[in-house]
Amino acid sequence: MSWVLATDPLALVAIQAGQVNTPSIQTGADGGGRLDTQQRAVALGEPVPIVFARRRNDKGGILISPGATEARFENDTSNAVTAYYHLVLSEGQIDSIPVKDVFQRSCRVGSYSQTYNRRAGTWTPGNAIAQQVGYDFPECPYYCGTVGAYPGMSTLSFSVTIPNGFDQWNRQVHCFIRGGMHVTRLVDSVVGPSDNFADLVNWMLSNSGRVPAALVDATALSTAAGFLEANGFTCNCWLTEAQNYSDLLAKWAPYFLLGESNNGGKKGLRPLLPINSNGTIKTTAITPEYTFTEDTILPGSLEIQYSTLAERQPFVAQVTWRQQLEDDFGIIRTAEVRYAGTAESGPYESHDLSAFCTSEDHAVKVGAYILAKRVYPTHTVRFSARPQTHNTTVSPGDIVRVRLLRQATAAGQTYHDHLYQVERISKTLAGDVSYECSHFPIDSQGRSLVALDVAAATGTGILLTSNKTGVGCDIHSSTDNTIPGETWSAADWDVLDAGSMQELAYNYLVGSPSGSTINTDDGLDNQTIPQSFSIVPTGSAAIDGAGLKPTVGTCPGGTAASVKWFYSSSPNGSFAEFNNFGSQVYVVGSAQISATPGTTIRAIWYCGTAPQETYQAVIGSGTLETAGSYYTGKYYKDGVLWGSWTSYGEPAWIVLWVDPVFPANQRNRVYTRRSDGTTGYIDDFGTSVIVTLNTEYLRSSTGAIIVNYL
Amino acid sequence: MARAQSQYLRIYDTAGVTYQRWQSYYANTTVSWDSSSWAYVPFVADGFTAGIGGNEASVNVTAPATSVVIDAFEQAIRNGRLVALSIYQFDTLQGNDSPQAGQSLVGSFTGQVVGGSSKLTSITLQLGSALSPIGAQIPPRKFTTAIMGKGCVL
Repeated sequence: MSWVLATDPLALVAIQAGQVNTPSIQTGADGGGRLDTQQRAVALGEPVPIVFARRRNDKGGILISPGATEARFENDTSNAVTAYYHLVLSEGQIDSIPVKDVFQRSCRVGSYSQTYNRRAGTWTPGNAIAQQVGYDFPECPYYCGTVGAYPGMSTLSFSVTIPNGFDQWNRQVHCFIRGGMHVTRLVDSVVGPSDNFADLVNWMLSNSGRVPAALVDATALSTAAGFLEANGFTCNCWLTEAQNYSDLLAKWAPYFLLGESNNGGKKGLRPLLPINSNGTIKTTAITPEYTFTEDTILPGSLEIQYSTLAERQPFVAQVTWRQQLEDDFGIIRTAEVRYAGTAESGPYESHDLSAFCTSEDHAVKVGAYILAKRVYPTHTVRFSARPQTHNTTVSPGDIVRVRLLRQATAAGQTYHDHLYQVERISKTLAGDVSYECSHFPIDSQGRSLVALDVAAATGTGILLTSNKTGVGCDIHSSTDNTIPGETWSAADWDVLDAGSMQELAYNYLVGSPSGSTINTDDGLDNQTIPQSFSIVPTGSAAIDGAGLKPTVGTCPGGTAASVKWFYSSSPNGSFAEFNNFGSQVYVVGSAQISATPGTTIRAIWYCGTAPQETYQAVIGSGTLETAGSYYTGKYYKDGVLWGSWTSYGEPAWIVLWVDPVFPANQRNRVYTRRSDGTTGYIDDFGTSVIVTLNTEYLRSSTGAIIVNYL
Repeated sequence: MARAQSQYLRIYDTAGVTYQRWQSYYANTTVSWDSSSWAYVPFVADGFTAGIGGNEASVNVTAPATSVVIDAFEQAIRNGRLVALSIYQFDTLQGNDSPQAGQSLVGSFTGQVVGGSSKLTSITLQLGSALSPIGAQIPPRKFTTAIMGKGCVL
């Protein structure tokens, strides 16, 4: 069964309520097996099998065909081959197996020893076959394994000697298990073998390694165990294939007339039929837990989904089960159930219970349930109710009554009045409660129709005998209850250590990243008017709106910001740092500006020692003139061309501005103040020059760099 | 009568040790209930769902992404801790500033923190069972070198 997610669960409620069971794939019964086959070897990675069985009241138990993990072969002078096999029977401890229950192919032959939590037998794995004079060399396997440890498993060492000329030494060993894996039984709290499916579920939840005890609904499991015990629904199975827990439960639980439950997050099982306090099926009148009427159901919230015709067609339920004989292999049988007078020529719907069901009544009741759930319930409902007593009293699985008046104009009034079994309850913060329920049909006396049919269904009571014919091959008696003594060997740890657990150190220490969070700016995102960049040292004030020292942003983490100046004779030369602010405010004076093209002044804003932005002015070419001498150059920011600059005045100083088109009525004047305190602008760029905003300048006795950019 | 509902959340481990107790009704105050103190955390648990289908959706708890909540969530999911959610209803006309002794349990949910999602200011914890609906889990053990050695080939 695969998982299906749907946005409208009301359509799935019918399936979840058991109205539509998935029939089995048309193949042979799961509980069957082949006798005369070659002994199977266990492959690494295979699941450790689980034998879950308990024979009582002439029912139950299971024949298993365990795989071999080790082997030994030797021959004597008459070329009789003795084969030894080490077999893993089950996870956990199982009951001791009497001689009468050990077979090779279909014969009670050989000798064996059984133990738990260690390797059975004292022989050493290997091929010790020798060429005997006058005989053919027996071809026995050469890869015989090593001695394992088998912790927590029941193991069996089997040996058989076959005369020369026969190759039956390589045949499969079978064991009939009367008492399987020991678990704590929910019904009587005894540790021992069990045939109660609820015990198996409880064990799986505990041992899957994923569900803590707090998420197991022990009360629900105990109730389910009592239901199974009271009605004789037993489970005798051998789990060998890896499968998902939820898939297994979804597949098998309905065949025990159980449903999975999730009550407040706790997982458990719940009978699909109403039961009495002693666990038997309730065939008396049902009393609903609560009655919903117009007083509680929110108007317009009722939705009804009717079963389709295809789901309600009559059919024959063909249920396969396993009649487990006392002294022989199980007989696979089928039970057919139908409603009288219907589906006399089919269709047939097969359900295979042979993997675990050893009771005819169990099989017939399952068939009756499948039929009844298709025939009697007609719909599912969903509705919301305002909070009231039902808030605290109604639980999933309870039976409730919904009685609503249908008032039709000129057509009288009728009632929608049915019993329902609550499938799902959703409680919201607003207080209203949403219910999803499946129709719970009753007769005129208020008794569940499905329960009545299931309780009344019984098998034919006919038990078949084994059809074993021919000359017997048993060496041991079919009544031999002898339990051979235990023998075992220590493990070969040299090999086992090769697969030992590698334990990693568990490091919980999780750190956070550190360092600057500033990334390099590619300059393409700067669409705002940049701040003016001037180079007045901290504490010095410029005049007429001049800016402060480069306002280049705040350094993260409180790191100190600084501006460093570098000078080079060319943009690609080596740069020397200089910082001669001192008490003067000029940064670059005429003495430091060279007329040589390529002279480069670079200002870099640092946060700590990490550079953030680089401003660079490269002198192009020009003529030093008196009373208006000027130089030109390019201006860069982080390597990207921002504009050009021109220096004016004597001594020369630099004004930088960029070249994008700007509104013509903007004017840019550059002023200077001389040592005598006089001021005046030295040039009016007028409208013929692309102007910049925020013209700022510095008070300087000699000169200064003013950077303006748009 | 005026019906109100309050939610309580407890984070604890499989040994029973409790790490957090939160309530989301009595704002900005720590209240006493069930012999314990419950701090105010404005969380919201969506509707509890219980059913006999066995595959009901998990419960989600949404809370502000404070350091307390985030740390509790990370510790819970790392260590497979359990969360017990409870909804109580009561009559506000009989008192609305502390849990009433007679308030009735409307619903409860127990689960592990199996997942979650978060925005910068809020975090949603997903409560449920760690039992995956896919992947093989039964039988739980596999044959390994440490158990059976090399194994034979027949």
